[in-house]
Amino acid sequence: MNAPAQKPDPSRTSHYVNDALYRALIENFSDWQDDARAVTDLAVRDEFRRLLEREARLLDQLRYDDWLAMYTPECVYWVPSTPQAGDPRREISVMFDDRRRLEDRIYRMRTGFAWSQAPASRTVRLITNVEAFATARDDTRMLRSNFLVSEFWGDETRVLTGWAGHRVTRDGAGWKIEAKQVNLIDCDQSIRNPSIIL
Amino acid sequence: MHVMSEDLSNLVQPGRVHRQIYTDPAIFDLELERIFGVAWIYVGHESQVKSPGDYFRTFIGKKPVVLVRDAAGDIRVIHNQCAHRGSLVVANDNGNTDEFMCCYHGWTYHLDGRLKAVPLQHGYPENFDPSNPKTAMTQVPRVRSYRGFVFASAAADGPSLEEFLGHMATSLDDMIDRAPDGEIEIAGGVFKHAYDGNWKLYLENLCDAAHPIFTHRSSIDAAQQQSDAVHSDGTGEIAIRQMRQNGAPYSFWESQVGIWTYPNGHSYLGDYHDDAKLVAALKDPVFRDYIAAMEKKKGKAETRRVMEVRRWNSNVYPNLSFMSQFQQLRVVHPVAVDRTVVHTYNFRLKGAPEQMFRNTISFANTVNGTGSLVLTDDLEIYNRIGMGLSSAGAEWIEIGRGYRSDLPDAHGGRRGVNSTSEVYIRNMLDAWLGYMTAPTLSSPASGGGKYPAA
Ligand code: FES
Ligand SMILES: [Fe+2]
Repeated sequence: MNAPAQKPDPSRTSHYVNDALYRALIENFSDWQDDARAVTDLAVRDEFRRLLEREARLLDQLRYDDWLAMYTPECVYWVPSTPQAGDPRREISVMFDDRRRLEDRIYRMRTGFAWSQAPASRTVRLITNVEAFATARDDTRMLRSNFLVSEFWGDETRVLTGWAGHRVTRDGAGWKIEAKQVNLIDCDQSIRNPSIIL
Repeated sequence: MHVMSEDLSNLVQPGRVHRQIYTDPAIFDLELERIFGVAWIYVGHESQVKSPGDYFRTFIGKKPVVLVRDAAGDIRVIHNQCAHRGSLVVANDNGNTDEFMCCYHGWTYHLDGRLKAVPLQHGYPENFDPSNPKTAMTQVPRVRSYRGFVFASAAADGPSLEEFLGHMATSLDDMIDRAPDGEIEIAGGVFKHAYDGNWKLYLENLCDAAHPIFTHRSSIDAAQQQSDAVHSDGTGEIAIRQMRQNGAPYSFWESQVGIWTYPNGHSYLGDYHDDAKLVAALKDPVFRDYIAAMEKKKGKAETRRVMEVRRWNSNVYPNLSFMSQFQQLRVVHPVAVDRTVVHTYNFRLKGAPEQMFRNTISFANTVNGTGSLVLTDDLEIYNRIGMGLSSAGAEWIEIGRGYRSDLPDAHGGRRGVNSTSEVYIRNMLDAWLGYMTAPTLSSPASGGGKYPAA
């Protein structure tokens, strides 16, 4: 019997960020908000609402490890730079992180030397209008939610707002986030130094 | 307040500069007139207006203008201002059209700015002549392209673009020479950054070799705990290496890296990265393919020459900065004395493997982007300088590092004895003073420029 191939560590390599991933990402995030596939069961929808609310709370509390644990090991965090969200291989993104880069981002903030986050912003996130959609895969759903992040930093409070798409996949009794796309309404404009995780 | 030339001369002294030039709204207004109203200002790249009717909206200083390719295929820069009652005509960032129409009373214009039609024309006085060049979206008097980079000057007379660029044209050459097909194009979108500080701070930071180790310490630390020997889609490592390189010891900055400056305020930081260090020249298959494409088109000797040009940021004063090695370009837009907007673009090297452009995008996202691990620190620094300088606690800013050790450069410039010299700031301020105190012979045209024969 062959020994199982050593699985590369997604904290250390970007082995899964290949063309197949980009293709899937683009496909998964196009034409998914289809009324015919909307999940109408209120209990199921509430389960997803709780997931998104928990994510918002963990980020507000800067509990990054717990937050990352809500994601699959091979995840994507994507803040497009255009409202149409083009192909992230050929179009710049406000942020486009695999797990490794996401962990770098968090590591960096924890050094205390990330000057635009020293001290860290205080945030409060409102998550509303949660909808869930079935996908071609039984074990996968797409979630749409609107967000409003109030961020206090320096001497002022500002608002970052938009909508998010989450791709979630079955994980035992619960769900894990495979990919998150954050669509700021002003993503193609001068966004004042967005150093927090959205 | 009226600012006199003598006052201005007193503000820039050997090795120091008065904080007022970064904080005084009257000086800012004068800069718009005497620098942005006179100098060659980078407007855009020809690839942004490929076909007749393509237009791109931007600013010269604070004046709204449109870069457009007219029906004959010529590049024009026209004031974005209706000849009727002054409304902004073009509101989209870019697009394609066969005419410009003002949405106030419907005056329409040809692509070169000439008036095309006026509704209710019978109501105007008899001497109203729509073919009079004064009733046009007026052209910026001088528009020239250097190998695709379009510059405009609002002054009717002055040095040619080539004279203005001088030896710095070689940095623009480097950007283009890196394309196997000898052509580049803007692609992938634009990052827009804003900070609460003066426009000069931006250019003063880009060749600053002494700041990364402090300012970028967090991303240096993050990159240092990542290994080089990672398997990936090939886009991650360049950024990791760049972030780590920012943490090189002073001995590196004082021995390997250099700073070169030229007349009119231009400068570049060089010998920072060579491709072997940063792009893993020999091991990276994409880079190998790229070299092969270069050698096929340009020959081995020319390819080697191009690869040995190692320029980090090149600054063309007062509003352009670019990295030829990584195909990124930033345009500085002064908005107010304490407000600046910067637009950052990426270029695709024609004839290079597609993966090269993906690397450029990934590098931009990680290092130069709005939410990147590096630029966010710089933006914070600009804000802090803006806040600090607003205090009269200390009147003078020190820019004397390297003052006694600067050396002449073979191409008519000055260079630092090593990269940590502040010679690039002194050089920009020399240019600043030159513009600001020049006798105002040719009053900078504010829209009444020459109308070329059709
Ligand atoms: S202001 Fe443009 S048509 Fe009247
Ligand atoms: Fe920097």
